[in-house]
Amino acid sequence: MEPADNRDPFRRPLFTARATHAVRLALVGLVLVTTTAGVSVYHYYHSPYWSRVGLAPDQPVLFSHRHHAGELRIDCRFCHTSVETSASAGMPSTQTCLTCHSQLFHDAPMLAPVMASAEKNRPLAWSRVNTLPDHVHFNHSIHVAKGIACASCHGEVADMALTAKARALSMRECIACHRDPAPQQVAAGDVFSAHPARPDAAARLRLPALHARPLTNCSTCHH
Amino acid sequence: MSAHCHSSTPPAFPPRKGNEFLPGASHWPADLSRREFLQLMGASLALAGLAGCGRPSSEKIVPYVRPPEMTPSPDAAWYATAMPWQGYARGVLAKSIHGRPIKLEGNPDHPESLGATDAITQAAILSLYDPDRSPAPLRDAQVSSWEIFEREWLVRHSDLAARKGAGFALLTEPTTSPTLLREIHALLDAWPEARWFQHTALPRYDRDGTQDDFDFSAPDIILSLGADSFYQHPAALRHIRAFASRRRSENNALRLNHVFALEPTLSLTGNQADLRLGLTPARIGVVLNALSRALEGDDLDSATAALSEIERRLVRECSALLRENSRSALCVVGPELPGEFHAWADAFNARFARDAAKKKPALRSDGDQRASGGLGALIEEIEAGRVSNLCILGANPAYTAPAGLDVAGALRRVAFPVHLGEYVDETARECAWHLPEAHFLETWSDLRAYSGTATVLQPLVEPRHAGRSAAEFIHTLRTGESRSAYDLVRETWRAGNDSDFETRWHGWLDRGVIDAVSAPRTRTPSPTATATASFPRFPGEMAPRGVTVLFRASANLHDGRWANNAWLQELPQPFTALVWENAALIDAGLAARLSLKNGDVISLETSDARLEAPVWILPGQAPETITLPLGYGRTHGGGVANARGFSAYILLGGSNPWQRDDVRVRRIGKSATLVCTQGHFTMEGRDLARSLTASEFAKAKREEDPAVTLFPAWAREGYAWGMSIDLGTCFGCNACVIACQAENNIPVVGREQVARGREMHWIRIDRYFDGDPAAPRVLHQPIPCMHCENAPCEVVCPVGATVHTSEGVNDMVYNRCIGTRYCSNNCPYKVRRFNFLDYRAPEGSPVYLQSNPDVTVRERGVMEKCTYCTQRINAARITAEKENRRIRDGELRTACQQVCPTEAIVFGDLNDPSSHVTQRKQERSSYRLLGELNTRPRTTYLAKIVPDSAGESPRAQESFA
Amino acid sequence: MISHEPHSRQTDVPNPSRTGMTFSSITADISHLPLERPRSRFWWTGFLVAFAGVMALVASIGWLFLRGVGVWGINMPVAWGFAIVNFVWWIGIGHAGTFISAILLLLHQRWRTSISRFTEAMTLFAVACAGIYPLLHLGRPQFFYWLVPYPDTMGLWPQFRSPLVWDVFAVSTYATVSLLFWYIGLLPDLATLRDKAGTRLKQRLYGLFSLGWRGDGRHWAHYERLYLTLAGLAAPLVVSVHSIVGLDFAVAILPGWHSTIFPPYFVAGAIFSGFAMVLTLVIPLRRVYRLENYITVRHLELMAKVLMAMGWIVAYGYFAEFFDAWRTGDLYERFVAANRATGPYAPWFWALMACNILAPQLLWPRALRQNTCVLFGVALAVNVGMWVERFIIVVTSLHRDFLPSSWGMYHPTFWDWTTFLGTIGLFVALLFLFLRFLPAVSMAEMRSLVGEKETHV
Repeated sequence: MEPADNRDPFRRPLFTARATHAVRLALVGLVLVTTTAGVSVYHYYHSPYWSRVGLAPDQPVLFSHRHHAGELRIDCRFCHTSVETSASAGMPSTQTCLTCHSQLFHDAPMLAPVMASAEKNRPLAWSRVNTLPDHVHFNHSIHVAKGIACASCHGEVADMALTAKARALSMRECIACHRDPAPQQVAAGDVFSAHPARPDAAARLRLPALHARPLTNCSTCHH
Repeated sequence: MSAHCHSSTPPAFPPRKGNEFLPGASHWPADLSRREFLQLMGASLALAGLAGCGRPSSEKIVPYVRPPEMTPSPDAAWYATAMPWQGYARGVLAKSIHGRPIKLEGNPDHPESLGATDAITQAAILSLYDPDRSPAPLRDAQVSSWEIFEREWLVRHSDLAARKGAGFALLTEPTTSPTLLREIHALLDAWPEARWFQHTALPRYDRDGTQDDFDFSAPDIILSLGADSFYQHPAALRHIRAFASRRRSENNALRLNHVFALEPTLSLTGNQADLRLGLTPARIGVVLNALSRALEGDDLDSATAALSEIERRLVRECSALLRENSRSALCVVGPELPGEFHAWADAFNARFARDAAKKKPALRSDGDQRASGGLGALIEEIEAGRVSNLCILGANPAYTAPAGLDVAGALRRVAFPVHLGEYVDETARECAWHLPEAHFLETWSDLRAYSGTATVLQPLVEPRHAGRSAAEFIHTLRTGESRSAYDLVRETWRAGNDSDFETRWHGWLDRGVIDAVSAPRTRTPSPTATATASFPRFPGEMAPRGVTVLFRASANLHDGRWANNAWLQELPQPFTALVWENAALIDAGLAARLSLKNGDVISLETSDARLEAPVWILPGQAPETITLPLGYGRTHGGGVANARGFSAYILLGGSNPWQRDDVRVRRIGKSATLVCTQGHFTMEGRDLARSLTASEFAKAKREEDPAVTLFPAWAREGYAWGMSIDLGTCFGCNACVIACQAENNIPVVGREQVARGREMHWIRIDRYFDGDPAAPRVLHQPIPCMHCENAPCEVVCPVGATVHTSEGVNDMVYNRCIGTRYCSNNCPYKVRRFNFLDYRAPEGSPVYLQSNPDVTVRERGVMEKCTYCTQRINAARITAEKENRRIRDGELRTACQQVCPTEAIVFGDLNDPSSHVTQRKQERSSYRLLGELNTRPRTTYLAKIVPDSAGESPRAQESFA
Repeated sequence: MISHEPHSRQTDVPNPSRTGMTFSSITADISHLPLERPRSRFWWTGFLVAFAGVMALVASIGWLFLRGVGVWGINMPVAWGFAIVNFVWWIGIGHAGTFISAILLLLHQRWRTSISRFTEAMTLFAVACAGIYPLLHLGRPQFFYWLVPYPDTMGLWPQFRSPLVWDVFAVSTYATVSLLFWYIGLLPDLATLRDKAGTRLKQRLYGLFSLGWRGDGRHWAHYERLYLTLAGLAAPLVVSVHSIVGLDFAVAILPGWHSTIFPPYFVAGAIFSGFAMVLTLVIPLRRVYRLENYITVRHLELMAKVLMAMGWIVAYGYFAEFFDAWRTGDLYERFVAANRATGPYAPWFWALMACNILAPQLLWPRALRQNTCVLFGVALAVNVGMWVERFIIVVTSLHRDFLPSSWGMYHPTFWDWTTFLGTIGLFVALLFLFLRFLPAVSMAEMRSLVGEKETHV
């Protein structure tokens, strides 16, 4: 009765060997896919891509920190004037640029936007490099006062032709330092230097006092 | 999610937006179509999943091109100025950030502030950014400009000048501003035929050219006759500060004074009395007659024959105390009561008050000879056709005029009516011209405090709109050309101060008071009653003429000028906790007779007016009386103000405008739902708001330390923040509530949301009726977060969004909160507030300019609560750390503490044995609220302490709810 | 108490000699439900009504996400409302299934056989409905995953002292195990359906899910072992889940919540409501689908007895609450007790007493236990009663707690109701789909019973 059997659809096997095989693979694959998905999501959010580290956004002026802070050794505070007195470090006004550039390279095409801003009285709109979420209240002045060097968050700005984000500035990083800030402290003279030196034993004694316990309170940054 | 400013650009005012605060701002937009709904719905469903998946986007930083010469500190700048309060100055320090005024605090150097403010002063900052403020001059309701007005005025000016000002009339509110008065007088000099009228909606504090000046700290006995010296009076802050100094224990020592009050309706002042009777004015007279006889030496029993038991008790105690001649006493009378009461008080004070009561020349222009009377006189002039040009400054007669004065009709008979005011209000609509007036933070001016001290008002911002000050305006009227308020004010004060004027000027601006210059001696005070004079008698109580209707200023909206301020609208009213509307406050007996319950609507009819109002039964209200709070029921007050409650002005009138006996009261079967934030006014026999008699206090022991707990104790190193609140001196003025709202960006949720029990105030004032039902007393208990050391909220939060800090503060981390609301369920004090809907003002709303950049604006679905003003703690800590020192006691104050007129709230470091708060907690009256739960609150209370006599009355058992 | 059941085991099961059941008849009777799909009109009307409910649920959720939890009646002080009430109610209902299949299996209660499959399905659907609510009731549902421990960029973890975190683990574990248990049990029947299916497509689908079951000895050996192991795992979960749900309340210091009786009392309540729900569903279905021979009056009567027993445990719980309030003399506890019985929510409280304590007493006489209409009515009452119980626990405790100043009332809104009815719709819709595509009674287990019979004969 072989041929009859073959004509009867219900005698044919329900699944081909290949199909069965595929299902088995699929079951294994399901496990692999879910785990890899989890792992990759984790890495995405911990990656510099997500935090834009090393990324230098387009700026209205091709300003080089390497030139100004590095080669010319202009002090950070010359432009970021309120860093020692207030929460925000302060961005230089167009006039600050003109203190030098009204004389130097004032007709350089590179400086055209600055001149335009001065003439038209229209402010320059810089792209923010280091951003914190709105619900984080960061205060520059206290960090500077306690001997935390600019470089420890902003990186070696003095070596950057185009200013880029140096660190993720994630809460994990903030907390790490707030748990144990002492190692980050540098001598008062070194806070604004391009390459702050680790203080030696003698200098350590002169570092400002730290009261670290409140630093890990949520309300220290979130209020 | 935050109001934090990223850019250092000077503030630009966004375009005028619709009514941010309208209740229902948090509502479904009516015009949303089905399609949009589905789109939004889809979007929201998608977003719910995708939240936080996008990379942080880059923002722009926009620095100055040229920084202003004197860049104020990017953090905060303070300016000393003053707020006009009933024509007097109330000294304030205004805080400005990035050029935005964001908060007013009291000026410690100012005699009528002493560093404190009240609820209305706190709320004034919001009105600066009110989107409903008049944006531009209007000519017949068409947008116009000052230039056009000036051109139009020049024509009339020459004409008026020719006629010596005949036909020109000026209507102002009474003021103490030297510059404004100088301008007005100059105008009257230039135009002898011109007339100047003054209109005020509320009673005056001066009588025959004098005003009373009281010292509440000296007298041992205070008798208040319907007075509200502690809240409505222009010198209220000074009064209550002095009074409070006698009502608290310091180092467990007491100097209690004795306070008696006879008043027709419950007032914040009367409620401070140890024995307070709610009586009709006529009945008060009867009781005073008895008291007079007792004081003149008559036999007590015969003197008090006609009195009820509790009345007799008052006369007995009061006269007994007064006969001890060592004591000095003071009698204060409410300006609403007729003259005979004031005469009686003068006699009383002449006898007992010593130096506690003085008469000084009146400062406000009410009594100015050159003025030709009030609104009535003006309308007569108009009816007589003698007014062709009328200029109205600030006043709003079309709304506040008593019945029988047809202001609208009169204005129609004036050829050229001009209105200068901050809003296009009821009066502005009746005038040919409306001109926007500058807010007091937008222009230069000057004012005198009730005590006489003058202050220069300095602007913090350019006028948002084309606003000008009253003085500028009158100068324009007189001369036809405009001159800056700055010049006018300086000109006023240069007189007599030419020697190094600039230094003195800057000194005045720094301190906010003009010390050198004393009050003008206009006239010598009229002779007061002599010590020997006997007490005038009152006519005996005549046969009851039915219901007495009383009219009083609203505690929150005053005469109605604050009606468009959403903070004040949503502020629970004293004693009733009603919000967003007023109610006819009715005595329980009368309510029972008319079979009325809360919310039932009654009609009040006089010969010429009819009013419908929902009733609210108020314990302590005088029998057979109804009190109608003024200030509500605006028709053109702005989006927030309009159609809230009823306007009682239309019933005003008669010989004594503040009370009427000829009102027919009926219940009309209708009923309205009144919204209040507290539905239950008795303590249910629970030990919540504690009150001790002096002898109980003497016997009391300090509360022992709390029971053991399984949780490990918190380390007590560094700072340990704590708070102590004195129930003895908290008199329920609500200033802390608004101060907290202004400091912490607390949203307004609107009437409908409050009705659902979703108000957002971080500190609330609980009110409990207590004591003898015949003479009930309201205990006020401010409830902020207790910052428990064993905080029930902390253990139940699944994400650790509310946690304990090393300094004992219970942090609320908005950006971690996912909104399970378990913390609130587990909070025995129910101090937590939840953003059930998105309560934030719409994007781009001007009210964001008031937001405090140091406090995160909370989004939908997030829990929030009192943080002990943690942003202030951080600021103080940073300052101290930079100077390598500890935060000094008193250097750091919470918003509620700073504003409190009675210093009832003290905050500080419990680890510092010398700190004020540690001292306070040493008092024997100090206790923990719900201490038996062993939550170990860092906020503790001082029980109210009353004289033994006040303790006699049985504690109320029945519910006042 | 089941094991002390006096009747002999034989009468517990459908009696082949009476019903003339054989392997083939069982297979035919049960498998024709998913394969031939009788009572099509009943199915479609029922399903469409339920599906309307599902749509209502979707709309409610959309509106909720659009506007926030403020669309519900919750407020201060009553910050938890219908969402939590419904969550606890559904979770409770979800208890019967695992109880019947796991615990009764371990207790060798053979009578469970004919209802276990159905109740397991019911359990899954109830847990699915319950699982929705904790998510919806969050103020910011988009951050629900913060409840799960995972390595985030903030360096933060959940706060493990909070019972809400325990819930996440308890409920998800329970859901997973129940699903596995149910699916394993289905395997042999799926194979049967595969073999009897009329079309190639059905054969393939059933075939796919039967994982190549061929019913040879090794399969059965593994099957039995795995099934028993899962039963062993599931049994403690029956107790753990609702104990932890009970702790959600007991951990709080709120009078009316802060009570040690909660965990056992919640578990009993859960089984109580679970059995009530089984009866409410089974009684009509056995009629409609002619399953009287499989789900016999005897089954109903046994369930009725369980219902009564659980009812008494729950009643004891109520009593204990009042007794505690009286004995401790705690001012606030006493107030809550009094407020429940006499306060603004008193009608709810007395309704609760009527439904959960009085109604089950009807079942004392055997005649009434066997009267399906009465039984159905009582079961329905208990369902309502158990929902009201959760309402009383959540709302009356919150609305008047320590400070009279902050007392309030809770008024459910339109959206509260649509969300609740929506989940009922979802539950019923899922049940209908189950009836249409899967065997409502375990053919394999029934056959094994008959097998026993025949060997006995």
